[in-house]
Parts: sequence; structure tokens; C-alpha cells
Amino acid sequence: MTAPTLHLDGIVVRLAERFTLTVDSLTVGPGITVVQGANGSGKSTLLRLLATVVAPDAGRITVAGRVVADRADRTDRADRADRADAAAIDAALLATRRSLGYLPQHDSVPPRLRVFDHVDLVAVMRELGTDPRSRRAMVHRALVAVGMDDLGAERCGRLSGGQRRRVALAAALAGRPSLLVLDEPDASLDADQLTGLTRALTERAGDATIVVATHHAAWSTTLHPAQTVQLHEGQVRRAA
Amino acid sequence: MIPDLDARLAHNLDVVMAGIDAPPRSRFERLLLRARVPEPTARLVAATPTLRIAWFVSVAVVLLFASSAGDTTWDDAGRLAVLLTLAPLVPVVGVALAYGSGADRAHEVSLAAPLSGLRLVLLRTATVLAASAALTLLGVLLAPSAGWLRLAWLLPAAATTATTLAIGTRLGMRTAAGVVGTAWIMLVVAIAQTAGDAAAPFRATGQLVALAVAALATVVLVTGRRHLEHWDGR
Amino acid sequence: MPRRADTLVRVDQERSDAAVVAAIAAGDRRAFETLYHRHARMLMVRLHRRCGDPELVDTALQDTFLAVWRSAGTYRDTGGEVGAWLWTIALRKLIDQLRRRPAPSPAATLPEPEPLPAPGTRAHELLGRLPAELHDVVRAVYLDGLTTAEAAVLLGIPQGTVKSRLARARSVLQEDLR
Repeated sequence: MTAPTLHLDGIVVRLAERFTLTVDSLTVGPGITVVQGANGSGKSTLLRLLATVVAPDAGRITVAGRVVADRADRTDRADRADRADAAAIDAALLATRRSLGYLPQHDSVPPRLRVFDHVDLVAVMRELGTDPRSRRAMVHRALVAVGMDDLGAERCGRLSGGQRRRVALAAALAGRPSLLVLDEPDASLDADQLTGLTRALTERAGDATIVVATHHAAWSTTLHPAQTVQLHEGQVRRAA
Repeated sequence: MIPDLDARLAHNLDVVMAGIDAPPRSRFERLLLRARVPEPTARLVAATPTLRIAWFVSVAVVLLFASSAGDTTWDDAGRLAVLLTLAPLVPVVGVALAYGSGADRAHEVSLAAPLSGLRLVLLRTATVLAASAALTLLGVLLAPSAGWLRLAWLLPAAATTATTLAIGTRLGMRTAAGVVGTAWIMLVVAIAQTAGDAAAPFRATGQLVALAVAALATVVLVTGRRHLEHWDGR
Repeated sequence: MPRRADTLVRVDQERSDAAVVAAIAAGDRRAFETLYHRHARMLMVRLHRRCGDPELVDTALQDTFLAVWRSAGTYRDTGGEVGAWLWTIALRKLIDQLRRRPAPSPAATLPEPEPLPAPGTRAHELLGRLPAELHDVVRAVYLDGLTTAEAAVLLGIPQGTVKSRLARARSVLQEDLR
């Protein structure tokens, strides 16, 4: 698993509340990319796009050279070539998701489930491991990486905000995916936990593409990102 | 010497520690495993969000029916008709609650995962359907004897559930459930009133129509599966 | 990972195995890791002498330590070695694994013979006089304390063969002791 490079071309995403994200051209990865911008600048939309959760209304996205979304030349001709193309896109999408760990911005940890079970459930959906035991070993390693392994039997609803954030992060880190899309992983973490997060991410940065959205400019420099993307009102302003 | 001994020792320790960290599997999950359900499937099914709500709704329907049994202002046929009308709505409510961002905080995470969206939806639906069917069957045992009519909600339930899923892949499960639920009640009332027989919608013709609708909706669902392979998380 | 293991072992170095097991019984996860780092490697090597299939050995080892975590409280410190206690559990877990799989060929399950009991002892001397197929059986039943049924699974031979080989071994040994 090598770190994939993602290309975004002519992207337009229209959301219901009169917000549009446009990305003319953007290349992401390998290594760490930090996405910054004010609330409502489109950070989460960009990350959901990269995590294959939201489809663009126009434009093309490639991951490791394979097209995962292409709305650039969508016409109504439903000929055979078009359908073959769709199958290739489906396969590329599946391949991307197999190597993807995603942390949404909102709290994605169901309160009723126990810590280990939640991470394990996400591991099942991510099709990790060749058998249940090896999958659960991956879950254990991910919980160790975020320092939550001894709370495996606790109900998520009883955890603090910072602990829940780390459980969600473990679900993304499990299995060492080569593409990590993390939307505000630093939210509700204290100083020590932030240091741990920095360590976990820089440890992965060598063989993964990591996209991190954050408000926290000072912290993001400790990640030594390969590039920083500035977003402003749905437009990309790039910085080194 | 034994190859990879160090790597295997480390891996085995992780497996052991995982066994120690992990909470024991729920009784329901162990039951599924004993029934030879593959382990990943058992995990997914046992963790279906709001499975409990589906159970509660089913219990409520059964209780409602049971309590109406003591109500002398309703005759047996009327009570049976109420049960038959409500039972197909239970899985519809369950599906609406079990799928989508409102019910499942991990919904977006599941969208970004390789596991087929269609498979996930069907698994969760089957779970809710089985749970509600089991309970409704209990309720049926309380029903005044009316022969096969007591089971006459099964095909309509399949039809309403499949239609909800088929519409839901395009409009969202909640909207679909609302549409199907409303349409179902209006249809039943209309047929019953026209025929002057509360059980009229559930007789042979109704069953055949329900079967046809269920089959059609399943075809629509499977051919429209691309809608479930996500990019719909907005 | 190895670095962490070394630290753990060093921290607990002066604790005896029995004290470590007592700590595990009280739910001490670090003590548990210490026990693992002290014994797992030897158990794996010994299990491999009985079974050539790495997958079975791994599972047996995992099951052994999971059982240790759950039943550390039942270990009685009567001066017996913790290592021997672990080995009894490990052997039984390996037999559980072998029972679940189709009978493997004995050749595959015995890649290299286990060394004899310590040289110079009476047991070493006596076992050394037995033909190979007899001393595997004697070892399984008399030294490892298995039932003939368990020995049959472990060695991949019918239980009747275990019994007849035991009888032959007994008569050879009686002859020798006379």
C-alpha cells in the first residue's frame, strides 16, 4: 500500500443552503495536507468529497490515477461505452474505500455501543483483516494508538468528548489505511492528547496520504504538513 | 528455526489483548453465531442501530392489539383488521429508523467504507423485519381465530417494506417510509369501505397484489443499487 | 514493540512467575504482558514440535493466554512451576484445535522430535531405549499427563494404537527394569 495521490479537477459541489464549493484544480498527497479556513468556508465539504461521501455536481476526481468521480462531460447518451465507464468508476471507488480511513467532523460514535464494538463494527464495514481474530487484533492496535485500549468495554455514551473523539479516530486509523481523511481530529482534545495525535499522525505520514482539516493553526504546524490548503467561502486559496 | 516467530508472537499478543479488551458478545450475537451466521454478518446485524426501537414499536403494536381484545365495542373482525393494517407498518418504521444519518451517527463512516450499501441496507432491513415479524406472530397468537387471515399481514408487510426500500434509495428512507405508510393506510381504508368488509384488502386478490408489488419493488431496488453505493451523504 | 516488551520484562524482572500470576488474577494487564513475554516464545517452540501447522499453533497459543487471563485465579502456588501449568493448558488447547480439523498426517504434525527429558536422569535413560513411535506415546501419556484419547488426537493415530503402543512400551520398560 503506497500513499495515493488525489487529483481534483473542475469540481463544483452545490449544497442546499446556497453554498457552493468550487475547486478548479488541486493535488493532494502523499504526506500530510492541512486544510484550513473559517467555519462555513467549505472544509468539511472538501473532506467529504475526498472521503467519497459526497459526490461532485461537476468535475472529476482521481485517486492513484483511477477515476472515482466524473461529472465533467455527463451527457444523456446511455450508450455501452458510458456504462463500461461507470463500472470502472465503481471498481475504483471500491478500491479507494478499501484503503480509506475517514473521521467525520460530527460525533460519529453511537452512545449505545461499547468502545471496542464500535471500532470493530467500523472495521467490519471497512472489510479489515482476513479473519475475525486478525481484524480484532487491528482494532486493539488502533485503540492502543489512541490510548483507549483499557476502556474497550465501556459504553461510548459514558465517555468524555475527547475520549469519544479518540474512539472515532481509532476507527479511522485501524488497519493502517494508506488514505486518511480526518475532519478536525483535534476537536475537544487536551494538550496531552493533542501531542499523542501529532505523534500518531506523523508516524503514519511516511507511507500514507493524510488530509487534516483544522481551525487550530498553531497545532497544524507541528504536523510539518507537505502542503496547506486555505479555503475561503467555498474557494481554494493555496499556500505552501 | 521457526520462521517469523517474532512477528507471530507480536501478532498473537495483539489477538490475546483484543480478546481481553473486548466486551463479551451480546446474547443475540452469540445466538446468531450458533446459527452459523458468518461472524462479520453477525456483528453487523447485532449492531443494527435502533434495533431496539423496532422491537419497542412491535411490542407497542402487539400490546395495542392485545388491549383492544378486552374492548367490547370492537368486534373480532374489526380488531383483526386493525392488527392486519398496523403490522405491515412496523418494519417500515423500523427501516426508516434503522437507516440514515438521523438514526446512525456512524452513517457517514459507513458510506466511506467498502462494504456494499445495498448489502448493509438489506441486512438491517432483514433484521428489523425478523424482529418485528417474530413479535407480531406472538400478537397473532392472541388474535381471535380467523384461519389463515391471521397471517394475512405477511405479504403486505413484504410489499410495504420492499417499496419503502426502493423509494428510499432515491428519496431517503424517512420520506419513503412516510409516503408508503400514508399510502398503505389510505388504501386499506378505501378498499375496506368500498367493500363493506374490514378484512377485504387482505383476501386472495389483495395478497396477489401485495406479492406483485413486493416483487416489482425488489427489482427496482436491485437495479437501482447504484444509488445505495453512496455519494449520497449530503 | 520489542523495545516496549523489554521494558516490561525489566520492570517485572524480580517478580516470580507465581507472583505475576497472582497479579493477573487481580486483573493486572501489565503483569499479563510480562507473563506472555516470559513464556510465549517457549510455548510456541514446544507447540511447534507437536504440530507443524503455524495457524493451529497460533490459535492454540492465543487460546492458552486467553484461558490464563480468565482462570489465573485457579492457579495454586504449590511450588509447581508456572511454566508446567502453562504447558498443560497449551497442550490441551492444541488438542482442541486438532480435533476441529481433519486428521493431519502424523509426519506433518511432528516436524522434529521433542528433546528427551534432561540427560542423566533415569527417565532419559529409559525413554532413550524405546523405539521412536513408542516414546512419543509414553511422553504424551506419562509425561504430559494426557488421556489416551487426547494423545491419539495429538499424534494423529487411532486411540487403539495409542493403547497398544503403551502396552508394548510398558513391557519393554519392565524388561529393562528387571
